Amino acid sequence: MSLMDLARSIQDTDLAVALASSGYFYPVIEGTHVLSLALAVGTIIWIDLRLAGITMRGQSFTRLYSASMPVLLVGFGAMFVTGLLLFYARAADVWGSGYFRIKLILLALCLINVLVYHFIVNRDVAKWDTDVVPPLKARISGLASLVLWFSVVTAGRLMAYNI
Amino acid sequence: MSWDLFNPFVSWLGTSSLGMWMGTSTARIAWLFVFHLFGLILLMGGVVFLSLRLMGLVQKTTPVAVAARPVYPVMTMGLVLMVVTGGLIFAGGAVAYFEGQWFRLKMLLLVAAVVYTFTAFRSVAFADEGRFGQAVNGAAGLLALLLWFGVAWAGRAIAYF
Repeated sequence: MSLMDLARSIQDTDLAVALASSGYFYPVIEGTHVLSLALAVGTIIWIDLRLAGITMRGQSFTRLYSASMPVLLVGFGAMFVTGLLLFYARAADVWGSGYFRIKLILLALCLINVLVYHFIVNRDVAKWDTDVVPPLKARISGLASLVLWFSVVTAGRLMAYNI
Repeated sequence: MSWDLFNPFVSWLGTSSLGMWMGTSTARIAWLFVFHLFGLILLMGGVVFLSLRLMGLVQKTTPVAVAARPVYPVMTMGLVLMVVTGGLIFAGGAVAYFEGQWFRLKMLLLVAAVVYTFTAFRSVAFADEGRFGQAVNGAAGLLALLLWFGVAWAGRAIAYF
């Protein structure tokens, strides 16, 4: 069975049909998905801008990071749950979209960037916590995150015209 | 206030060469929406960050004014990006947008949110530490969240209802 067949069988389930045809589904679930951007990407850009040495220069990075984490987790948690529901309701249509596949690849790159941050960049954070300009690896990590997340948003928004 | 006052401008914009040009390409509108969302991230991210700080929920050890200083320019850039892209999107369907109740609600909330953000909210955010009590700071942050999420939600509602 191909992935497209799998997506088709998901889209044909009673639950998916009921979700997609409900008048509340898109206003509530997609609306929440879009508005959660303010919490998720809206918050991560501050960590990235600080890492990249662009703004909040000299403020403690670890303090900014730990303060942002709860907001980030709520934001990305809401995006993930609503995103899964949006996929579930129209799995075959969504899987058929080239922008969706690009978005998945970009999300995988975001995940890799997060892992690189945790296992390499973050290791000696105590040394540069309040540096005005963080070390090169931190600046690259921050800029990569900014570019990747804005690209995810772009692919996600263009999907709407493509499914 | 009568919305009819704007009718001549709206119908002129809708039939202007800019309006006609905007209205004829789905791709153009799609990319404008992408940048409209970029603006939302810059603007609302700052609003969330600063409001939560004022409410005492994040970065309690950083003085509010220190937290606010780098945030305001980015919020302003986001707002400008949203207004420019939003204006162009509006031009592409001016008369139809203008008739919508959610659009009108969004514009009212937007005016309130912008005025508030650059007057009272700004004063509280940049006040010397301790000038306003936690109750005032918290209320100021909560009102900013309600106004801006109201604008964003009304904006989404234009697409659905």
